[in-house]
Amino acid sequence: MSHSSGTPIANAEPSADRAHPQEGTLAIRIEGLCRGFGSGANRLEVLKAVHFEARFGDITMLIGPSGCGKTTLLSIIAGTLSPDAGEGRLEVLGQNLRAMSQGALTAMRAKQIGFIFQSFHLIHTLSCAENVAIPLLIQGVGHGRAIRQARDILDRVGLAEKSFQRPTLLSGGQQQRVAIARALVHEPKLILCDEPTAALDARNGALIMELFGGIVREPDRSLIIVTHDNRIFGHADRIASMDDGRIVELHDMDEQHPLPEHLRHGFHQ
Amino acid sequence: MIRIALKMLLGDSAKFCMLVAGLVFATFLMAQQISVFCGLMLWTTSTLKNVPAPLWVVESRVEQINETIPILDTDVARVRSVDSVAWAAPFFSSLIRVRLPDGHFKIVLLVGIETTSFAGAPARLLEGRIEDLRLPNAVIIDQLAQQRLSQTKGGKVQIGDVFEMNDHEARVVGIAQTVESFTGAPFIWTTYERSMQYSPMQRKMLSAVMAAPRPGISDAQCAADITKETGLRAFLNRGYGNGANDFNEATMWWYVRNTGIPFSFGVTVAIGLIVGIAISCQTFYSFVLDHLRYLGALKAMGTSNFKLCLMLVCQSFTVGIIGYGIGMFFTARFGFNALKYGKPPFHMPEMIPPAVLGVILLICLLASLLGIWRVARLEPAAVFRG
Repeated sequence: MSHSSGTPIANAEPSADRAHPQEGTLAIRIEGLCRGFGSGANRLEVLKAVHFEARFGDITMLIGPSGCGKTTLLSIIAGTLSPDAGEGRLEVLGQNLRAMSQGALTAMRAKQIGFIFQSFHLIHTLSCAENVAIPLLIQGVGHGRAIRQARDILDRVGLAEKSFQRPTLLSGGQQQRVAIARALVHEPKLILCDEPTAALDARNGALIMELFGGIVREPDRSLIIVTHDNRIFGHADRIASMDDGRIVELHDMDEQHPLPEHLRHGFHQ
Repeated sequence: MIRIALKMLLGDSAKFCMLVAGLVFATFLMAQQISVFCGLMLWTTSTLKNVPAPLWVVESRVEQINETIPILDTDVARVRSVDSVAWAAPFFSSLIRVRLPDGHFKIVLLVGIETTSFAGAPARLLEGRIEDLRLPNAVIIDQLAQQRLSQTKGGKVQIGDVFEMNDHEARVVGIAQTVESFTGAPFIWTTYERSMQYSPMQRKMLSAVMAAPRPGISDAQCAADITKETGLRAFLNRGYGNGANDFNEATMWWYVRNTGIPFSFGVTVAIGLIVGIAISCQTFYSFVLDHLRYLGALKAMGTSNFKLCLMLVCQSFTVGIIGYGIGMFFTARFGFNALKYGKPPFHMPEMIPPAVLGVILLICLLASLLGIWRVARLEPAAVFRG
């Protein structure tokens, strides 16, 4: 793996800053993680001793060709998929996911992780506000209070007037903003996005990335985006390029270290 | 989350309506068919309802009230002679033909009772007086006979009208309200002595003896004494669910054992149950599959399996209760009409609504279990794969 850096990676112990994570400290630390599917001759190794880190305050993009293992890695970070047994290290928000029970993983996802899915997964029979309120309702917040908070966050993404409309009446860009509001409403420390601009045109994609750079980015929050869309690579603080189950390049970007030429062309899905 | 679950359910109106319709059908079929069956069983014991007496004494081989093996007139006296008996009265019943003035014939159930005590007189008279039975050729008819014996369509026989039974004139002196008989024949009351004239003569004419125990003696004890001292069989008349020595129970079980009625109704109820299960399970499972991506997203976002299962059970039970409510409404409408017009037979024991509710909720639980099984196996990671 090559590592070109514009800013130094702070190697602080994640658990020490769990309550109030500081910008630059690690939100995710993965070392030597493997994951395969099937068995015997049909065994397919999707992740091969992956090393990956993501900092608080950063937008980290996971890029790479189809089948390189991005979604599998994202699922493992989310705690929705277990890595293979072994010595690999898997720390998310300062917690060792390998040591956690399913119940604890579920609780962590509910409280500390926000999700933005490629096809939004907004429930079409609910209003936008109700969709946004779901993470709060999962945590047991009362319906009225959850809806009030959902309307506040919808206001922040510019959709206050659409609160009581159904998502099916909104454009793709608006639906993605509702999905972003849903990911933010419970103020998670980690937001995982799966191809957030794949279903959007260039203009809406740019608007969404402006939102990510604006209200989503926080010093104590880490944003992981899996994407093929080279139009948005420029919004990343760090790009982790994957190929054949490995992170092959980790590039930290700033004014002195812009997007390398070979990444500008992106990947074909 | 329950509210979210219900909104998901109600939002898919096509599947919601299909689910409700299936459960309405199942509820209606089960509740209505069981009630019609119970009504029919009630009709088999209509004589016991229309001719109230605490004890019925019959020939020892008699198994049910509609079966008549005549006994001797002197058996009334034998029953009276039992110490624990307060009173005993003769009872005659037989299906006979009534000849109408226009020459047509109708079958009726003629009941002969003792005019001294009027034991066995109709429980409820709508018109006329019981005492008028003592008048020459007097009979009391029920509402069904009012219609059946009328010469004009839609007309009703009134007090004072006459007709013929076995070439003897009968004059209507009262109208009684009765429970319809299993054979469909209307009830006609007359005195015991006159019933001998209306009915073809046989060596033995007495159908049964009605009796009552002395105060302080249970009817079961009295029945045992009668059987012991006379050799006749004494049945109690308390109602269903009082053991094999109760005439109602014995009659009902006789029909259950000796006719295809329970099989026929049982098949229909089973069809209701099977159709309910099939429609509910298939539609609810399809509903779960349609919403699997949302359920997967909820699971990925941190909803526990328990909460997801609770949501599915809640959705399923909501449909069940709505379907049950509408189904019972239709059953009640059917029941009201049946009772209003006197047919078809309808009797809903109080245990039927909760029992049907239990079955419907069981169906719903079964339907939701299929969904729960699917959701429990759902990998939340699948949501990232679209």
